[in-house]
Amino acid sequence: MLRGTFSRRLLPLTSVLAIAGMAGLARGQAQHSPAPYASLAEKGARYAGPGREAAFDLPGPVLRIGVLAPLHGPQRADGEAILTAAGMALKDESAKPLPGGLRLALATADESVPPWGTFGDEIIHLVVEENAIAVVTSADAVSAHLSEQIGNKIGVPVLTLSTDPTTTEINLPWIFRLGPSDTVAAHAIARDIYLRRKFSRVILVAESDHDGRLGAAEFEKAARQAGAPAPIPFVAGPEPPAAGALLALIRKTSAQAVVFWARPQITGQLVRAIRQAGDSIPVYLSQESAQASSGIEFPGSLAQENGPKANTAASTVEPGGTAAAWRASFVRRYQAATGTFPSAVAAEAYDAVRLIARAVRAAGPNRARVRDQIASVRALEGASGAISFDDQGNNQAGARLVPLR
Amino acid sequence: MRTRWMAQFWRMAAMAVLAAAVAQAQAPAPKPAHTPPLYTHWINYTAANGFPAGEVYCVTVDGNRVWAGTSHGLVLIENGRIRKVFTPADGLAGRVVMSVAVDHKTGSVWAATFGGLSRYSGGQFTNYTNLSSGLANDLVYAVAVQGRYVWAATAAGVSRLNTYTGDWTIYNELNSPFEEPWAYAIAVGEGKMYFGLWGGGVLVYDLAGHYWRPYTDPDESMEIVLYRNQGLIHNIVSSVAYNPGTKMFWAGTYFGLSGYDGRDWHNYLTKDSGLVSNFINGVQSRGEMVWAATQQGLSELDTKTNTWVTYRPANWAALDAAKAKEAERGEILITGPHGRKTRLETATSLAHNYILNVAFEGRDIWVATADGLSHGILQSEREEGNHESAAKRR
Repeated sequence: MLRGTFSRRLLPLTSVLAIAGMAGLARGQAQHSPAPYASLAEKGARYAGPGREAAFDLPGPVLRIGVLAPLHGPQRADGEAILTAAGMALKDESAKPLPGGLRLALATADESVPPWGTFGDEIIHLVVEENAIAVVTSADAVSAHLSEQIGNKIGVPVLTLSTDPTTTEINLPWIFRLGPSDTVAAHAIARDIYLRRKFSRVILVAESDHDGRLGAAEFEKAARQAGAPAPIPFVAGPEPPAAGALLALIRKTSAQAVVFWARPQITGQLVRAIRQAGDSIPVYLSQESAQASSGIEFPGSLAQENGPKANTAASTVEPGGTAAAWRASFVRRYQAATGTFPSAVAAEAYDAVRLIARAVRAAGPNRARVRDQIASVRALEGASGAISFDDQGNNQAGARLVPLR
Repeated sequence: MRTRWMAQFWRMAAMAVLAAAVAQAQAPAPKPAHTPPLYTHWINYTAANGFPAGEVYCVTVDGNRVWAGTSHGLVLIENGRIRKVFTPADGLAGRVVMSVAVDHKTGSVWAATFGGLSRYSGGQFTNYTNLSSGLANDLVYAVAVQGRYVWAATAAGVSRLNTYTGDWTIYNELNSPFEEPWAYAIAVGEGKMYFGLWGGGVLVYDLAGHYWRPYTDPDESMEIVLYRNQGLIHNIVSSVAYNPGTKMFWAGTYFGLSGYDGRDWHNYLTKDSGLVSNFINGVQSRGEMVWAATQQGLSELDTKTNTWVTYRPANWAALDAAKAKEAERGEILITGPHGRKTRLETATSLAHNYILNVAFEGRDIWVATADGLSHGILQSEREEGNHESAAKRR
């Protein structure tokens, strides 16, 4: 979000820098580009508000963890994957009693709820009516932004599975991201495509919606920074994807790879069309694109340390770092429960609920103290990798590529 | 005998030195020249005296009535007394009240809640929601009355109700230059409406010409401010205010304060001003003054003298860490135009350092904090004289 296309972002900055450069020339300082007046991301905002006192503890023996997920419509499978993983984490954490006889439960809200515009009511229901101690949002960036707006006003920790980098660039002390941001993911994909495989003709499939625009802008930027030609754009959706047009574009441009930043069901349809046409062109999927509803599976990648060395036909991004024991256990149990391999988003959902439970164990039933606990997490082993939050709430685990089937 | 006299002498001398030191420590520091009048007396409304516990998001003054929007309802204070706490049980659309506006022509009170928009009139609430009206979304962050129109900033754009006809108009990314649909703040200007947007900077709507003008961060970067007065500091705008006296609008962001006078921008960050925190929840302006409601205190800028005054509890750090239950003495930090700092203490204090908004009642100020509502009373001339004579004596 917040950025529009890369060109829209770059043009004003370039203009200002150009003017600044001319001013520098006039002063005989042409060799130095101007240092910005202020760097805003140096240190995130510390929460300086109230709420840590016992008077603000949430009442009752049952503490609810809010989970926002698509429970209807084309992304229902993604929502079910998140809830399955969250339920597993809750069961694991509940095996050891919490202090004071507290019990944890999940409270879910459907982000695909019709009619239009009532999704905000779902979040408010979780936070105000259900008194959720914290909220886990899906991979959808709009959910993440709405939740952090509300979380910041009311004082509720939000753990997001969205890869939208701007969610943690707002200086809010209440938001934490489990997975790699689009920025980090785009660089991981660009490194593999442009630097390792030495490709130059790449098609970028993105939707014109919030998440698609943002992801595409980040990949365009990563390509530029890798010194590569601009990727060839292909706009997917919101209508049924034009697979024929994409196949024609692949042939016409002699493309060497296709990168997807689109909703999973659209991504799945287009990838299947490419393969059914007999084309083995490598495809790269953003974390959101590779969710369960894409129909594209991780072949046990979360249990393996595959890395980007193999020339795989399909890859996606998951958090970097290693936490092999947690990972293997999670993958095995998830697969046993569902018959499918978990996506990176599902693994992050598992970790998010575990993180909240762990924070409640240490801090008690208090949102501000739970926030402080989550903010202090360093090198915690999880199903998605080792988790360490920086001052802005980003998981510093980085990103790596893993193969898909 | 001589020894006893000497011992007595030294005891008295030591006491005199001690007394002088104590007097020095307790006497108020001199108030620097060009300092605006100070709020030195605070009356607080908190859970301790019947006010709802938790955040006070907004405060609006209507004659002898003060309306406060809180996390637990809409509070009416009349002549300094809490008269009523309205909740959904009374018909209010939502428990969490973000903003309140009074229609001075009709007496109607409009409340922006996290459950829709409420109008309180004739002792009854009428509610407008996403499903029952043209309200774009039930998450209503701000409300303002402009003539016959009521404007609501929502999580899905701006809605405008014509109270004469009942017609609604929605402005969002489909028909207006919204970068994102999330509208966070509203201010009524002269022939213009000002909207603070989450991710879209400040949007100004010309009421006569029916056109929009966006003001966004020119460096388009979330991470830097390229030049101090480059334009709007950041595209995430938490609050907006218009000052008819100076014809300026002010925007509060989570990264600093921006003001625009129609030609130049005036930006303030903590790094080189008396602003106490860049994390700004609310902004107001009248006369030559601008108030920034920050998470570490209430900062006031006298734009004429470039003098900053910040109010917060003296024990604010202990409050943050939950090591103190309530604010005790108050702290006033004055930063002069050349950066010289002076600290004063007051016997009373704001309810908390986490400030969300302010409103004015004549010379008095009302301050919405995250842990209660505070009523600030200006230092009297007599008190001010005492300060000055104390300073002269030293």
